[in-house]
Amino acid sequence: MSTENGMLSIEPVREGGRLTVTLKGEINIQTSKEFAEYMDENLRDVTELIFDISDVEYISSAGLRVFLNSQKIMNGQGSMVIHGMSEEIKDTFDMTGFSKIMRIE
Amino acid sequence: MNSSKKEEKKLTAIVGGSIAAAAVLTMVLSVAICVSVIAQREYYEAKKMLSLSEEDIRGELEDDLHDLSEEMLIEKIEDMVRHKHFGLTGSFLVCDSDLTVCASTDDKYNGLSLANLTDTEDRKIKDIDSDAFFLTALDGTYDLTYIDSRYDHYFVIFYPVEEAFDTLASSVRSLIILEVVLFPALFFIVYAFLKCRVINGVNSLNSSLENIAEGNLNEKADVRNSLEFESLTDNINITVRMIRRMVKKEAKMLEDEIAYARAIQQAALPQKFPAFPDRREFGIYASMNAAKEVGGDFYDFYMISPDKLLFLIADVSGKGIPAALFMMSAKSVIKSFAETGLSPAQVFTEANREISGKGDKVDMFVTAWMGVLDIQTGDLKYVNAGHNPPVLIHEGRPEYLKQDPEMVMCAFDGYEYKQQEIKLSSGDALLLYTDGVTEAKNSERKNYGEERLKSLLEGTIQAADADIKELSRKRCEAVFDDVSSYSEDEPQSDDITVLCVTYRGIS
Repeated sequence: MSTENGMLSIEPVREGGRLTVTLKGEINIQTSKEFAEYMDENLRDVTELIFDISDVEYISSAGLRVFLNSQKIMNGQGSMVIHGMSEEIKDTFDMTGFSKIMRIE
Repeated sequence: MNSSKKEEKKLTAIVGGSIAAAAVLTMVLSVAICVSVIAQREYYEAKKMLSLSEEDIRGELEDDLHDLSEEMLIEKIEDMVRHKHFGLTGSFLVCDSDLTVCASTDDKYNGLSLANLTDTEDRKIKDIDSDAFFLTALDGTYDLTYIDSRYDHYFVIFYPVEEAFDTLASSVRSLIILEVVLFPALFFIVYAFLKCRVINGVNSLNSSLENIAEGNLNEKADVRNSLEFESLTDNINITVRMIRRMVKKEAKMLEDEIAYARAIQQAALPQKFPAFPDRREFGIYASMNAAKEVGGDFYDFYMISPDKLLFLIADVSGKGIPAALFMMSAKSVIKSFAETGLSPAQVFTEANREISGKGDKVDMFVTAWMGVLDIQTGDLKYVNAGHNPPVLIHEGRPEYLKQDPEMVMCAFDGYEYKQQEIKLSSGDALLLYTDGVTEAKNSERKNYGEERLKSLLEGTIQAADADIKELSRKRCEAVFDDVSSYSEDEPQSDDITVLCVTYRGIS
């Protein structure tokens, strides 16, 4: 899958209550809309949410918001974990305090 | 382009179908016409044959045989008949009043009775209407028979049915060949004509409309090969021109509104510098460059008591008018709590509680850094809600003021913020900025970064150089200049905001 500048690909795998979402590309102000819509529509009955962001180059504040909303929803119905976070993105998660409330592995 | 393929198929079916129907119809009609034409032709030929013979003979003999007797005429005709065939194989016969053959082609039937030859009674033969063909069987073959009686004699023609049908069949054959060639040719001509005039025009207009539907309002329809297409083309172009004009008008209106919003937003930020001209203990300067006319960054500073300066910088996630509106709201909520004398941490905890509900509705959050500086003692109490760490310049050496991160505002209702405390020395400065600085991109899409900011602040400006009010301005301007030279002409997607406080104290 190509990850052109400014593009985001969302590849979900659903196994029962477990949803694994593999993201590739940039989660910027444009692509985060699509990301948010996807999460809004697909979290029903999910008890274990796993993000793989190994191939994500950038997350804007609008993208952070989507992770935050997902965390809020998962707090009520199960668990959420983020895999494959780059150092640069980890700095953002640390700085914004998100690391405090999210499981990052 | 699927629709045009369908159109073409439809056209092929319509043209092909109607031409095939026309071909079948013409074929039936022409066979019918052919049969009747051939029958007529043979009939007239037979008649002509007889009369011509008579006249030719009369003309030929006129000079020396003025009063040619009927007997002689008949004799002459009999002579002629002997060497003549009707058609290719048909025979001529001349019979006397008793219906006995007295002359015939090749003298084949001389002396025989016509009644026997044709298997028809004498009486019947004599009753036959001399202007019609009738069918007889001569020598076992069917013949079209024509009888003309004059001068007390019977002149008879036998035309074999087989030959008549052969002639008909060959005519029909040529007709079929003609149709096989002519109708496909006709099909291609009509098809090419329709395709050129109609289908290509429709396709061209369709692709123009598709372009227009995709938002290309500079597209021009141009099909003018018929009056109908010309008027359709003109109407499409007029419609597009109207839409373009309306879009332009709307864009202008939106542009004006954004300009107003920007003016209002800028007016909400303190912009009069030097900000506290009577204060010798500190200097402060701040500025914001919005990326899309109006942005979500903001800064603020004011005295919350005679010797306490509050300053803050914040970044609302999001852009445009919604972010600007949310920013105005967040800014006033923070100020209203700050003015009640709460500690920085309490201000953020309360403000977060207040604006969390609003942020949820619009899907935004705020990163903010706020400090309260005691200008007498240099004590600085600050709280950082997920914002970029400021740079503390102490004895000319810049260092990031990093600490255990706190949650951004508007993310979790009920979050309890904790504050930090440091003491500033005379000459220290604090530079606050938003991520528009560190995440400014160059042509290679690389970030400006914290390192570059730190080294910029390292050497260039010395505290002793100027008065502290100018110093804050110079530091901010140095940051803006460096970011703009780093990013060159790359369009920046984020607001860029910088605030600098330089402390001298009461020394």
